[in-house]
Amino acid sequence: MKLSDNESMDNLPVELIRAIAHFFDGTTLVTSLQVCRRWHLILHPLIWRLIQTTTWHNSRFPLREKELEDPTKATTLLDDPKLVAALLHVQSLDWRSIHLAKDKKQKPRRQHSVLSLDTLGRIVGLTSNLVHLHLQSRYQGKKFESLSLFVGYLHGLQSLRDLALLLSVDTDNLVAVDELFPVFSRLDRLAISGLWVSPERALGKEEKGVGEGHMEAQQSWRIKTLKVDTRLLSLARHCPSLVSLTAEYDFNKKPPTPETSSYSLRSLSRCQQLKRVMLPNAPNVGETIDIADCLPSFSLPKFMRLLIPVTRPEDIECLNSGCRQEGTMVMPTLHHLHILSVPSELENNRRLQLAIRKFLISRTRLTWIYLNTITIEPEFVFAQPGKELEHGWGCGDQLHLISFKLPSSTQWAAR
Amino acid sequence: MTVILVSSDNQDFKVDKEVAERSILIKNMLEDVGESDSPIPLPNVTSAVLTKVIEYCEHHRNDPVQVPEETDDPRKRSNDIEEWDMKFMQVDQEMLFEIILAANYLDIKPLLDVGCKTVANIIKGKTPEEIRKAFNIVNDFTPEEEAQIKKENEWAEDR
Repeated sequence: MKLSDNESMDNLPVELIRAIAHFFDGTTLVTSLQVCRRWHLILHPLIWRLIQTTTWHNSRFPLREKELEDPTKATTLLDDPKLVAALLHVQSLDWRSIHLAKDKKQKPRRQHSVLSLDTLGRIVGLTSNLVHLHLQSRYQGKKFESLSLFVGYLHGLQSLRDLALLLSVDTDNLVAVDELFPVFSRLDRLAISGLWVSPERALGKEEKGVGEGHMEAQQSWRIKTLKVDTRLLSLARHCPSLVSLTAEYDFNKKPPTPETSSYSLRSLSRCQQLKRVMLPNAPNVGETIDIADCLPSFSLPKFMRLLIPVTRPEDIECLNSGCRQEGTMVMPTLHHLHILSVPSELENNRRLQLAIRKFLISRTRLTWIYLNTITIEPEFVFAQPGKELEHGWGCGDQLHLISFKLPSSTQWAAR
Repeated sequence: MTVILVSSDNQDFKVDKEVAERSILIKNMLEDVGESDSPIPLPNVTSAVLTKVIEYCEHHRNDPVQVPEETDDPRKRSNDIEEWDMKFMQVDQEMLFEIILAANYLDIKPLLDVGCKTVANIIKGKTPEEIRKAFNIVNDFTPEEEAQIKKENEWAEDR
């Protein structure tokens, strides 16, 4: 282990040279490649470790998006053995069809580009040591025959831990979601949009209840962070280690359909580690988000972040009392509270304000409170009976931010 | 409670257990043997280097234990070295590499990081020839090869 007489970096073991190079910027890394053959051999994999969204637009990158758009050129490029070898070093691949590019005046501007899903699939197939994969695109008006081929490439990624497939694909041949289960079972993080995946087949099996379908429902994955379309929310039943959940109608901002807008949180019943739930969309009129009832009671004492829509006073009231065990507070350690999508008929609703007041008074760990869709009468919500406003209410000195709507000046004056 | 560390040249170093346990290797060793007064031999570390390593561990004895970061950003910065650490690392190159090797062997992650950052900062801004000179490395590339390598990898420069 001791350095020989001619002390030199040449004698450092490979893993230490790599450890040093992890602190290099791009330019230093490229310069270091030219030092000697040994350094080139050791450091070249680091060059290819990371392919970012902007890399595809770099005119010197060998896999330029422009060239890849032409299928013949793409084939020639992807047959180059040198490139194929380099792609084995890629650990993180990020591609978005719309992104902010900087032009010469350094002003960000939106750039659109569409790499075909076929080409993208081939690249994914070649980067077989990927750990992070992030693909985001909208394929409108284009039909893809090879969606299952694309899924096949995903199956080859044995090291994958972090997958984001925010795709919207115009196709009649949806991929059944359970075809992706082997891929999901290796992940720590998953984000998936639902418009190219059909939840039907998996659900169909489940309805059988016993036998094969039952086994399927009991699959357990290691996923900790899940971001899904509401219609794929049932994936959460396979994620007992889930910590963070985001569920939206559709990440590509299509208007909700009856199918996507009604959802149930029942599939969260196995998620005992859950600490963050983000539900930006309101359910159908008349449906309540009874989150306290849907979450397993184990998870509630450690709960940290909540973002929910409110359509009725009951949505908040259930957080005050709706717990199975009487007398226990729901989410005593909540840090962030964000309430949104309050319908206009709830403006100035005394019952809702009372529910919010009751909720806020007892959560002393709150640091961020966003209530900007609700009109709040401060002295009603924040003051305790018989006390001044500023020392009124339970929140400790941890509060960083609070945001809410004041009553309009006419309402204010009328009182 | 103190433990005795023995360097490769057979010198004894008496240090507080808390200080010695900055090294994960020693911490695990102590946990394995339990309560014991027997000295711990470190055959890969000379007394000169061990003196430096102990100095570092003494200074950082109360630091919180590093938690592996959840962020996946593979790019790390080298310009965030503390002032004391920066001064501590002002040693000749041989000692610098010896400290890095020792930190790696003894499994002291923060010291390894500071060492690696220091070397990275030495390399930053130099030409390939200047790097070779600084580290005593023989150039085994032809000028054509060197130019070719630069051309092939230029895309990664502005990251």
